[in-house]
Amino acid sequence: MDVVDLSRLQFAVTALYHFLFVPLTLGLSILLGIMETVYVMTGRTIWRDLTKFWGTLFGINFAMGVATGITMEFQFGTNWAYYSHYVGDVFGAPLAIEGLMAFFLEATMVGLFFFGWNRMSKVAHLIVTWALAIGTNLSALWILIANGWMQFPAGAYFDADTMRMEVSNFMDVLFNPVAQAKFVHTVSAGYVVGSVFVMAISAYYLLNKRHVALAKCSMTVAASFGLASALSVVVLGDESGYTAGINQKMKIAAIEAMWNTEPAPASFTVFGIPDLDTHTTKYEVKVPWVLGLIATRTADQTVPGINNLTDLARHRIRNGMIAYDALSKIKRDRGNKELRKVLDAHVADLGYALLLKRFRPDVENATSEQVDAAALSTIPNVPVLFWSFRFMVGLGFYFIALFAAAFWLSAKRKLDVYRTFLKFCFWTLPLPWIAAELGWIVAEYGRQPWVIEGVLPTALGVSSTSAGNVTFSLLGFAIFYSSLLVADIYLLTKYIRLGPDQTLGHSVEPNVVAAE
Amino acid sequence: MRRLLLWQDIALVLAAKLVLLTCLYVAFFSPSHRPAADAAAVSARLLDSGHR
Repeated sequence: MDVVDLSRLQFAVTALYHFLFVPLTLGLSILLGIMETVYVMTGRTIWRDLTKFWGTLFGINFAMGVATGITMEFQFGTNWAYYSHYVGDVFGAPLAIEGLMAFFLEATMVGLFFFGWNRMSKVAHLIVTWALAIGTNLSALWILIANGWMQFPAGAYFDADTMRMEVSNFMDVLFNPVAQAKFVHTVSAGYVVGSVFVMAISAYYLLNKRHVALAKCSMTVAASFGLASALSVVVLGDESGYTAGINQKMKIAAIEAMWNTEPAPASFTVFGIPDLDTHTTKYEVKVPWVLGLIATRTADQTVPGINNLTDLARHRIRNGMIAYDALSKIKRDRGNKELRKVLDAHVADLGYALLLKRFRPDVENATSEQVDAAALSTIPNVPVLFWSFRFMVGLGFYFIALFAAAFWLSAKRKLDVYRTFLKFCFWTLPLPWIAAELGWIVAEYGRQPWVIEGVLPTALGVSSTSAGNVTFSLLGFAIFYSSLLVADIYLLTKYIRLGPDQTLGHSVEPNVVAAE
Repeated sequence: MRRLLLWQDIALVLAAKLVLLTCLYVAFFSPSHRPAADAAAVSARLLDSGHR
């Protein structure tokens, strides 16, 4: 493997590991806020004990999430130095704000949450818990604004003198529709992870007839919050897909394995085996109209197919070659205004010309065959996207059904009656993580070959470092992160087995009201 | 065995942390490991016909 593939693998491994911890932190933080709010409103100590017990599990996971997240930011400098120079002016701003605003808030509040129980009033501690939840979610907001910009680079322009993208309108970066849709979809997915976690552990207690009162209260909160979140994930995922259609038509076409543009409204392929060599999908099972209605929200607009988008890419590559040639000449004749006018007219396609770098170093002399090859390189791995998306969506609908059943049983006070249902709840535990990871695979793998969609090919963003260096650090990360994962699972299992009574050091009583 | 005082514990932990950070710096972040990525380097990578 070369430096590009190794650096991509390293980022993918660390990001996927990191996202094992993040969604649980996002989901549990809000659930803690809800549980403590019920405690403050009712005065029943079981809700305080619930908050403390789930808070202990939250704390273990939070520490692991921080440890795995920090190293990712270093990779922008170590493995992606050219990327960092080219887009750092835009990409760095939300990351810096995340550190200064969200991370400082959550890092401060997490200490007050754990050590402030007997040092603050009930209301003051409740404010701390919600501030912690808000800080955690704000942290996700700024990261996803940065990530959203990679998918839809709005509010920035290319500066030929500094050879980098620079911010032209920060509000466009901040209110990037792709980032906003991605944020609400991602945090909702985190809430589903948190809810499934609480529900699965509560089901484990109910199956073993331990901590029944605590488990029923927890499951009631998780079922209602989880149902709302799972419904949000699907609705906001649809919005996320719709906004991706603004700038990432190839990603949408690849997810649907739609090789050629169909007459509007396009049909949705429920099942099929996409073939990259022949550009066809075998054994297709299609539902008429559905894709057209979902993707365009109209009945008369077409969804462009992969082959048609490749033709468009070919045109943009040729256009980009004009920009590339002008930019090369500007480097030798900086004052030439005519050249700058040519560059400005074609700069939107400059990134497409850079795709040719993979096929020949002197881009301006590319042959038709090389332009064709570069155009074909804009097609991401269709089978991976096609199946990842379908598994993710299938799991999304499964979570809605599961939470709806739990909500109904909770309303009927029958949560502990059906053992098969409780077993379903328990064995669902790993599924929301799988769905969340599949979501990231669709989002990031679907962006390839771009690191910044339409602006910078991934291969040109890596540092001038050796494959040996990246392999060494990749192995280090794999060992270090695996150890953290083992430690996380060990600690979570240990405290879950101990249960709330032993974790908190006293018996959790269901009907005790706290003295004011 | 004599129990260490708190300030001794803290000093020990800080010293160990300093050693670990220095090792990390030497292994990964010292100037010899830093790739030069500025306008000139980016121009060379993107525009020079010698680079792929």
